[in-house]
Amino acid sequence: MTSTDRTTFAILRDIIASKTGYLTDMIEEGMDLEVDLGVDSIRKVEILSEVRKRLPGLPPGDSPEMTEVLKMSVISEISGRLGELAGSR
Amino acid sequence: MDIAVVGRGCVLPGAHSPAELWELICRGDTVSRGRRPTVTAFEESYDPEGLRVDLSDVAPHIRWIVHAARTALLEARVDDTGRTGLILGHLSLPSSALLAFGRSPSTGNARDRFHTGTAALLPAEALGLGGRCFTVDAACAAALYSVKFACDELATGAAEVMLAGGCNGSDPAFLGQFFGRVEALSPQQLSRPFHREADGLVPSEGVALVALTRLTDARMKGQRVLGVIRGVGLSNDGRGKGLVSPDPRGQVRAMRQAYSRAGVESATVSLLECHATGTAVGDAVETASIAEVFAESSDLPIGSVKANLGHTLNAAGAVGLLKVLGAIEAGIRPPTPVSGDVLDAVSGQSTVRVVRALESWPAPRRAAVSAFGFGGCNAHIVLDEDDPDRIVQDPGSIAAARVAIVAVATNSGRPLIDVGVELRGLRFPPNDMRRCLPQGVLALQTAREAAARTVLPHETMVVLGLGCDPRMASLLDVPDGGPEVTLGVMPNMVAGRISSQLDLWGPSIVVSQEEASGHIALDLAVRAVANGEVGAAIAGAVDLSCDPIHEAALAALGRDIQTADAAAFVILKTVDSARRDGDRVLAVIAGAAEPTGHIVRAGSASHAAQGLLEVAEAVGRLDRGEYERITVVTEPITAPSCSVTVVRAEMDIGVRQPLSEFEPPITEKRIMNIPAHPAVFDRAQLEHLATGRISEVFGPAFAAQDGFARQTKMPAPPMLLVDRVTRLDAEPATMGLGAVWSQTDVGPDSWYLDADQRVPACLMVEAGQASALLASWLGVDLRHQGDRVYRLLGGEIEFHGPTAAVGDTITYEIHADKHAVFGDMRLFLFHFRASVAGEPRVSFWSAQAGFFTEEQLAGSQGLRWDPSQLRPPTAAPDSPQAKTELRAFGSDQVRAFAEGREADCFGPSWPVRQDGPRITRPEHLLFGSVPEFDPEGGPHGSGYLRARLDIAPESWFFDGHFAGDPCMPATVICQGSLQAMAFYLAALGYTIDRPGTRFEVATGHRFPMVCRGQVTPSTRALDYELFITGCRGGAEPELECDVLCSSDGLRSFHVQGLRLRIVRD
Repeated sequence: MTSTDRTTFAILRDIIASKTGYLTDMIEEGMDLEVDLGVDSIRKVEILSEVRKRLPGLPPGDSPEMTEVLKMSVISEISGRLGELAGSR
Repeated sequence: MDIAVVGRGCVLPGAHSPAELWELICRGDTVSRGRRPTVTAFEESYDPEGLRVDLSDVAPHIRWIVHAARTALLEARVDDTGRTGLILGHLSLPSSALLAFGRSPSTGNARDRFHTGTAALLPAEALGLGGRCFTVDAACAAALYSVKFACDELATGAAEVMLAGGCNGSDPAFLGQFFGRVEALSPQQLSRPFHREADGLVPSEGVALVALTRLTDARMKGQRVLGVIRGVGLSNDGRGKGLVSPDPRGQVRAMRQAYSRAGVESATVSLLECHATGTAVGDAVETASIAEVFAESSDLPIGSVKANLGHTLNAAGAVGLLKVLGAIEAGIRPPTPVSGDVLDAVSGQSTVRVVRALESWPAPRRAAVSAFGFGGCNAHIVLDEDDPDRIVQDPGSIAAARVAIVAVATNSGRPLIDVGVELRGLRFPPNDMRRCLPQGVLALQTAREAAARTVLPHETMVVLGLGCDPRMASLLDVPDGGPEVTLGVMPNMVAGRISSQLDLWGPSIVVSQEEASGHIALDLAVRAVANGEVGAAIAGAVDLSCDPIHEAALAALGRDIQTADAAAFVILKTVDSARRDGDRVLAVIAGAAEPTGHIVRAGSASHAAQGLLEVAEAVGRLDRGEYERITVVTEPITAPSCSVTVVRAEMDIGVRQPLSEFEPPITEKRIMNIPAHPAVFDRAQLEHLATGRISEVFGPAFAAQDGFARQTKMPAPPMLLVDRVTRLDAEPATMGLGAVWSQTDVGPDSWYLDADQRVPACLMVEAGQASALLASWLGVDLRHQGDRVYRLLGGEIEFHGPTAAVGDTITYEIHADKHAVFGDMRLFLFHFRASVAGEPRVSFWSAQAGFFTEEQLAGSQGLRWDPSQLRPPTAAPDSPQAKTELRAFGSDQVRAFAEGREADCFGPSWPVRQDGPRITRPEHLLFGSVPEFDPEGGPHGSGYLRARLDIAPESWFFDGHFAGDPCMPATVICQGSLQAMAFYLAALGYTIDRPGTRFEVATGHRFPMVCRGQVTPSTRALDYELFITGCRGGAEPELECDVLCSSDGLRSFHVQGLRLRIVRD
């Protein structure tokens, strides 16, 4: 994992923790937001919009790229894709 | 087997009989258009003549149920109701009457507290029903669940006639808030199922019931058969798409199961009454499920009565049933009144079409009805017009398998303060769990504990006995939050959450028969497992009866019951499945019979849960070999008594390993504590009490003391260490006795934390501040008329374990023991214990507080103890680990010590320490200098130290203690004494080279503490004198001494035999 990936993951993990109440160290990369943590689509939208505030360079929330991220559920996939999207701008 | 519908009854908006309902439907009336549909002018139709109970003062929906039941029994021509039962789909949401009782138990009707099971039990009593009566909640699918269980009741021969259906009489304003949070309500109040522009549902109300009997009996008795139930399918979404979004896979499972049980093809259905409520998501998912299940249909006419009436919630499935029964009777398919375009999927472009005008319905007439509910509940029923030529056979008895209990878990308390939720593996955001009914949290945790001891197939049923939490409205009425708030309070979600957590697809419901609720749950579970309908079942019951509203209702009804909180769960499988899965068979359920073996009478301490709790305990006793056979009998006050017999498993049906081998592996637990009961007073109220008008928190009985200059109060922040009062068992303003429970949350930001991130020992004692609240609540100030203040006089401190750490919640249980008057002295005697997660940490025994006038405080003579009374040491002190030649330490040296620079304190040759125990955070240091230190000093030459604190008026411990009446808490003086003792141990070198250790007060010893003088902002100095009576080195050095503290020379404070240790962390 590159340091950028690590930063993206750390930001994402902090936001998931604050929105769900799980302890930060319990949130692992391989977890599935829906299956393992019970995060539904509404809360996923909340999480991703918070990520957009904290991670500069992400496309708008209603862009096709972010819509695609919304469909993902495994944390490492989301974090990886967000890292790419933020880096490409 | 075939079950005949022989009677119908309803009370609905615009229809007080099935005939009126059918006319309304055929006319295409829409009573919901633009307004909330309500039952009106009902009392004109209602006839109380001949009822066995006066129902004039109970909630109106009870009379609706009685009216509908009578209508159905009349049509069914049932005269003798001795073998008639009632299973009622009923939302365990509060009725208006229960909310009113909760707001004012002294004026409300106590029977309304028990409205959950009472909705079945009270009509049963009024009508003289002798069969089994209970309520079932599966959200909006409940009515069809009740029909299924009623069919089972008939199939087993337990009853001759069963009434089944549903009722919604929930408080309308509550329902508005309830659905508003999930954004399911139609803003325009238009109920438009299947409509392209449908924007939400319109809640409606009422009752719909059918009377059922075995088809063979109906034929024999010549009863008119209105329809024949061929099969009912029940399923849960399991993990699905979450608790609020319907999942087509779950719906399809219920539908397919119904056709499989009926033994007919779905394509033969010629009228489908859908659940369709007019929400965009719900209608779309349902039409997708229909497209899948009815793919073979050539023409499928569908409808939804919600277009006429709105959504009657728990009654919905039964209203749909009444509609298709009317259609069968008339041979007509009635219209669903929706104007404008319907969804493509049901527009007739494919084979599925909404019926939009009356059309004739040629035989053979086979109908189906769907009902779906939040929490993943799905139900589907198939019924036919009766064909008198079809030969039906009485199925006789069903070959039922033997049922084993393979796992048990319980949690209980009197009261239970917290529920510890294991966060690992929890599939719900912890923030959402904090929004849940505490009984739901307790049930989920206990069910997980049971489930961890076995393996469960997807086809597992979850059935729980419980009642409506009277505090539900306050959990819903919060300023923020969305769907999680609604889901948090839904009673059937208590079961739904378990099915979702464990991904279980069997029926998932809650049932209530008040005290017998757990028995009903167990019985339904046993039946489903024995019949092979499910692969396993989780049967549970939960009740948090230690609730003031519940207790007020018991008292008002003259029931003298010591309440308890409990959850009990058992997991059932057939003996064969248990053997196949390698389960340990803990016990076997005996077939229905008279009570045999050892008999346990359950009582009702934990109302709905007590019976099942006793069953769970009985399983343990069988397992320990105490008995071979135990029968648990529950005798509810308003229902017939019931019993279940559990038998010790024989050796041949399970390997009898010790229970411990089946315990889940111990991993590091991450527990989140959720309070089991709402706070009696929350933090904001406690802060208000410290500085504001007491009557605004305690109520008008305390208005007389609002203006008093001096009152007994807890401190204001920051010295207010209590976060909430969780229970108060005491009559206000009576000067009687009682108890209070309070909690203190220790967070990473708690200002009082020590250097080792723990609560300083004596602040653990200080946080028992609610003792002052208890005295105040009992009315001491009303007696003292405002000229006295509260001061602690002493008590015995005993530690049982380490002090609380970050993340802990400390729970205090404080008992008032006596109010005493000696001359001019006014005393309050109490004791308390503080625990963390159920483990006791510190007790304060024989505590005494006094109420003093200003003159009394100023005239204190101090305490009588002097050093000549010091007990001689039992052994000579061990020789120190290091020696300092210094015999006095100035403020720079003491500060250096507190900051960990020991060489700057004890002399340049002092060894550099490695991470030893820390005395305190420097800012909380409670002495500034050590004018005397003599390891050979004191009356017995065993050691002496004097430390001094110069008192500054702005010192932290005056801040809030008390508002307008600053004085240094005796517990803080005691903490200063411990710090001085820590300094003494350090000066003897015992902190050198002890990494990973900390100071801890010795456990298991009582330290008598006496306070007879005060330290106020006008005090100049506080002196601590340590008279050492023991000093031991070794692995865990320990110092024992008497401490005498003097306030400007007045002997004010003494602790005897205080012991401080250095222990490994």
